[in-house]
Amino acid sequence: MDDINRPTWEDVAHRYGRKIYNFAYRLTGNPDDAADLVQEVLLRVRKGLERYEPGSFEGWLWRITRNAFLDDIRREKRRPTSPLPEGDHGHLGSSPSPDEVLAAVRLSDDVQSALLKLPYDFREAVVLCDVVGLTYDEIAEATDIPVGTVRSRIHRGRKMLREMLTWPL
Amino acid sequence: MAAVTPDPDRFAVLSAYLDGELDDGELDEVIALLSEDPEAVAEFRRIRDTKRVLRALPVVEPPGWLLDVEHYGDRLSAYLDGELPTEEVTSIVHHLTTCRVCREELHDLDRSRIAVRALPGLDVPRFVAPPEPRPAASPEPERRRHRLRPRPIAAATIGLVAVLALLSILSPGASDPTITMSDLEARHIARVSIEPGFSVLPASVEAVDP
Ligand SMILES: [Zn+2]
Repeated sequence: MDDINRPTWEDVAHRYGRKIYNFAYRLTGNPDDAADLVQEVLLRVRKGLERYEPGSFEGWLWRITRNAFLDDIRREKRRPTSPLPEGDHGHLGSSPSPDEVLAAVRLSDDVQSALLKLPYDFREAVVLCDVVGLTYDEIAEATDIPVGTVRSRIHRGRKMLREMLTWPL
Repeated sequence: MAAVTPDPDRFAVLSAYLDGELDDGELDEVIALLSEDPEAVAEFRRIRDTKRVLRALPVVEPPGWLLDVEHYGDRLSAYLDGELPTEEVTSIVHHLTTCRVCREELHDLDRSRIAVRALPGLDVPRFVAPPEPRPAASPEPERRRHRLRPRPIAAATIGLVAVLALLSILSPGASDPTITMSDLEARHIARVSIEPGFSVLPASVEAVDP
């Protein structure tokens, strides 16, 4: 049994809860769905639903997270495209000016709505890469697709985003 | 140069380059591409800006009850046993209204607790040792534990009783060594472990039934 070193759900909540929440939030644009997803992931970790292989913790965790997310979409027949409630309330670095805060919020709202317009596969690849910070290998493992496909999804996702976003930065 | 239909993924290597995901051969390829092809340079800049913007997305804070509040872990057992101070009970009850995971954990703990408490009390068989005169037995396991003095004969008796208790649990389903929760509950003398009036879950919360 290789489940002996499997992290407990409390470990996962403590170390990865915020990341999972951000992943779900960027994929759905909805705080309630994001919170639901975190709980669902913790429940799945608790029940040991996915076989755990030591050494591929990220792949294991994100596979659980992704499956939970996809099951949720299938169950609810919900297309995750709801708009942001009132901008983000996240960390914006060290005390930016009010103008900078406003601009950043507006920008992140734009980016968020552009993300929601991407086809799911591209959105997922881009979010796992740029929001969660996984390597291509980890993304391939989590999503069960070849690394070459990961690479092309990330690139095409970014290209589509670039076309949707208008900036001078 | 002859006109070639551009491959839509021709520049995918640029994203991989930005992400530090290229091997040495591909690295040389990208450097050559960027030094020869102005279109590649323009594409590279666009992709780089997009990546920057994505990386700059603010971290969204989850609601406090989800992560900032500690989950209750081993305090859930103490909660079931009524061993927590009132303030902590209040905060656990509040936490249970939102946290599905602690709710499910509590439910499982309660089932184990019921199973153990349901074990039948056994009489010491007379042929092993004549019952010693002892103070009136208390039904509470907590107190009984302190009263035991492991003199040799008593230790042997306890050992035998334990074996008998184990056999009495295992033998009825002789072919199947697994003890199921329903076996235990069926054989149980007192099926409910929770004192009347002590509610495991707040009234507003449904018990989880896996
Ligand atoms: Zn909890």
